[in-house]
Amino acid sequence: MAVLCKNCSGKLIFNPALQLLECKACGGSFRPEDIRDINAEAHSKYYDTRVYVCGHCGAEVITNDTEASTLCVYCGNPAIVFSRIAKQRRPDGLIPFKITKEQALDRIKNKLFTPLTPKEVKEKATFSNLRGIYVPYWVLNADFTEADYITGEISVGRTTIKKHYSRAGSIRFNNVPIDGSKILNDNISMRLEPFNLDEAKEFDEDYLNGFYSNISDTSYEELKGSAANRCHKIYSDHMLKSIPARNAKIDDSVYWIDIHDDPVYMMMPVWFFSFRYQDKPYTVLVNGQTGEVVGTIPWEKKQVYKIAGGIFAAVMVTGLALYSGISFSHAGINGMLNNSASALTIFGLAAFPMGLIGIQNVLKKLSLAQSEEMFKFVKKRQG
Amino acid sequence: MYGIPMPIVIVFAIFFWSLVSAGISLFITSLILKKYINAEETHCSIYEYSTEDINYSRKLDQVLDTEKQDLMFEYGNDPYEGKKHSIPEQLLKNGEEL
Repeated sequence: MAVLCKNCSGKLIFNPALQLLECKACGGSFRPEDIRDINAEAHSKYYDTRVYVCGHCGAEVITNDTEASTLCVYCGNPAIVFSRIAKQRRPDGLIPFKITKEQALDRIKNKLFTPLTPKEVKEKATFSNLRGIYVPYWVLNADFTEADYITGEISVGRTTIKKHYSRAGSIRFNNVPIDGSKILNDNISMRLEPFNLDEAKEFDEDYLNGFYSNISDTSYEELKGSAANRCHKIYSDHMLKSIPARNAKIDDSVYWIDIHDDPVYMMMPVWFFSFRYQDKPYTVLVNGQTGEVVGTIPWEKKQVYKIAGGIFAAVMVTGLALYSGISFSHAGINGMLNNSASALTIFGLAAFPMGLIGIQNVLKKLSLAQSEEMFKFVKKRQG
Repeated sequence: MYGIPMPIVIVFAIFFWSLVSAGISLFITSLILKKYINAEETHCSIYEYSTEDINYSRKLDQVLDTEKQDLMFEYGNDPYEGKKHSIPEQLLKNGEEL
């Protein structure tokens, strides 16, 4: 529960910039480890929290002080109600917030806001839409074995030949962080990495003051599945670099993981910027330790159509000019214009599928930032 | 031109050139949007989580198309099967609640 100032009994809030607990009433500041927990014995295994439930997406948001939650950090919906006071299992450690709310908002604006960002979204970039949450992670050591059948292309003279490769190997991974919250998509959480575990502290609930937290709701089997997928990603990215071929990709693979005894239960700091735009929810995350920004902001469709239309018109006019030139010019210039028109035609036809794939990829990435999608797309774990 | 009426040639040329223009427009627009996307891949390399390199038990180039089945069969069994580990109480509890 809320920790009080020993000078004036005011509420203490953790200040990431100073790494101190500050009293808003008298201005006093204290190191979290210097605050004596009067219920230390009773709290040795559990700590008290206030649980809020979102009526829209069902997410549970937990605070340990008296601040009331006003909107769901996952889907941005205000339909969030206080549910209960609950005792939570005390994590083994945590990384305190280092990035302040102001810094997190600045990073989002600098990294994501562009001339294509809708004005409505820019106006929503306020402190009230930004929430600091300690996200539960399991930090584990594991042995990992993988076998891959890979296909790549090599050139022999002017011919491109498809070649096959087989690789199998094992490796020991140390301190791999796997998020322990079902509601946070693994594809999002892994982009928040790396966390610097050297700055981890022994868990002290005083660090949670002024922030929200979430508890781990994954089972061991789910954790094992997530860990196997994460290690596969790290392993295969590295292994593919050793293949002496172009466009190397894994055709088929099989992998196994052995998680060592007792993974460590940690809380990692993450800023959530949630908002709705055109009735769709969006969430952008900022690593509360390193400041890494993860997510995508929607763009103003009208602006995009204008750009696409402008390019279309410019190419049409260029094409007409080139073909008119071919019809009316002399033979020498005609050849040059003919070549330009042919090159543009070939480029245009080749660019069509590339453009379609590019737009598809962009939309896919945008969908990752849509938190209802994130919610539906709840981790598909290997059982 | 080859007996095809001129209006048809013109309509076909405009249609064809519209396709080319649409392709170029789509491609450049996708590049512009991509520039504004930040959902990048994690930049964590293998060395972030391991002090060693991959210990390869098989590293063959130029294998045949048919060898895929053999590879998957050979490595298809869990080499860690049967290993018992101590599991934290929280993970066990979450498993029971499912």
